[in-house]
Formats: sequence, C-alpha cells, structure tokens
Amino acid sequence: MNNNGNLHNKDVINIIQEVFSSMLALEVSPLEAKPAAPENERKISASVGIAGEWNGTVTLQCSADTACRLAGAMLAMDPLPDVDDDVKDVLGELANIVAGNIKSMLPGPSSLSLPCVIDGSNYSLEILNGEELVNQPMLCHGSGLIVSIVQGKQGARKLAVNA
Amino acid sequence: MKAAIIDDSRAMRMIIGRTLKELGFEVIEAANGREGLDCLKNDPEADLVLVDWNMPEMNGLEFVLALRGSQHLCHLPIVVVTSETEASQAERALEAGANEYVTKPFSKEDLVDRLRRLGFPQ
Repeated sequence: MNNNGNLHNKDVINIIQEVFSSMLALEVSPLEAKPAAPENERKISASVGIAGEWNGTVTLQCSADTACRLAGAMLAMDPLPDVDDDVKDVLGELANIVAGNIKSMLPGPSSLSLPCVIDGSNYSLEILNGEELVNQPMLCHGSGLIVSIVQGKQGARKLAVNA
Repeated sequence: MKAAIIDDSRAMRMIIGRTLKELGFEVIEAANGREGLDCLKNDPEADLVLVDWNMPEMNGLEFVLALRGSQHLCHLPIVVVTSETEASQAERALEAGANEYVTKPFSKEDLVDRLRRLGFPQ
C-alpha cells in the first residue's frame, strides 16, 4: 500500500483542466512528452508545499511568454508585456489552487504553504530526497506547461514506519 | 453596499472584485487578515467580507475568529474563498463563524449563488 491516496495522472490532468477552464477560460490538454524548449529559455516556476499527513510539493512551470499570457487570461486583459509582480502572483495563485485540489486527494489532514515563485534561466528545482510522482506536460495556449508533484522525505519515512 | 475582499493575491482580489462591482458593491481590499481588520475598523460601512484562508501575518481562520470576537464587527457576514478543499477545513471555518465557504476554482455563478444565500445584493 502506498501513501499517495487515490492520486493518479488522469486526476491531476482533470484538476488542471478544471482550474484553467474556470479561472482562465482556457482549454488545456495533456501531452505525451515535454515540448522542446530553446536553450536558456526564461522559465517561471510556482511551487506550493503540502505539509502534514502527506508532505511534498506541487509545481507549475512554463516559459515566461506563457506565464504572461496566462496572467492576461486570468486578469481578463491582453497578455502582459513582461514578467512582473502580477504575472508571478497569477502563477503562484494557480499553483495554490491546483495544490489545494490535489491535497484533497491525498491522506490528510495537511496544510498548504504560501506559493514560492522562481523566475530565471538555466536553473533546476530539486526537492531533496523527494520522489517524483507526477511530471505531466500540458499544452496550453499553444505552448507547454509542466505540472509536477514530488513527495518529500518525511512522507517516505512515515510510509516506512507504517509499512 | 460595500464589501471587503481580503486575499494576498492581487489577481484574486481583482477577479472577486469584478463580480462584486457588477452586483453593485463598492469594494475595499486588504492583503492579509491583519490589514483586513484594520481596514474594517476604519471603514464601519462595510456590509460583507470575503476572505482567503492561506495568507501571511494573519490567515483567514484567525481573521474569522478575530472578527467574531470584535464587539463592533461581529455582525458582518463572512464568505471564506479558499483553495483549501478538504471538508474538515470547511467545517473549521463554519464552526469559527464563517457564513459561507467557496472553494477555488469557482465560477462567477458559484460566487453569486453564495452571496444570494446571504441576501445580497440587497
């Protein structure tokens, strides 16, 4: 038995589609593989931690251009011209909403952290000793968006104790 | 009618505010529970409060408890609008004194429906 509740890729896809449809009036669809991206592409990552009976993170990652378009869609305006506080706020809030809905499918009780947003090129985001449960590329606005869920070490320890 | 929107996300304040303005509300905003309490103390004409759960400084649950404990503001209807989707969280918010609980994502119709249950727009 695992400690991941009823979490399946298709549920994560459904959550993303519902959140993007309701909050941005955008359709998103799952991709088989990560879309190719130019080297040194500027990327925005928004992560929200889940802590409690289950521990881990939910992260949304996309290009800066996609982030600007998502922010425009959520704020009902044209795509924002550059990554600013509003773009980071929108990505963080989307990660927060997605994480909240994913949390309801995991063992509880647990709490959400405030969102953390990273903006830059050539960086990698790593949860130490984490186990990646989901890494789902999605097609949104003609470009890629990646949803990842990583279970943290504490959850793994708890699992070992309970086994 | 005047409503206070308390959320650390400016985007969410804009989205909720747009719907409220369409319903005829004047909107005031705050970025966390502490700011929200100060805002309401300084503006006694508010008729309704919409508050997020996860915020820095003072979260939504702490805000609900503080408002219900306030002699002058305890009568205000409170709608918690949050990403916390677990039923146990909704129970905690309602037990603390919130009147309605809306989970994100929500549609404009979801929000309007909850406000109508509270008698808005008046």
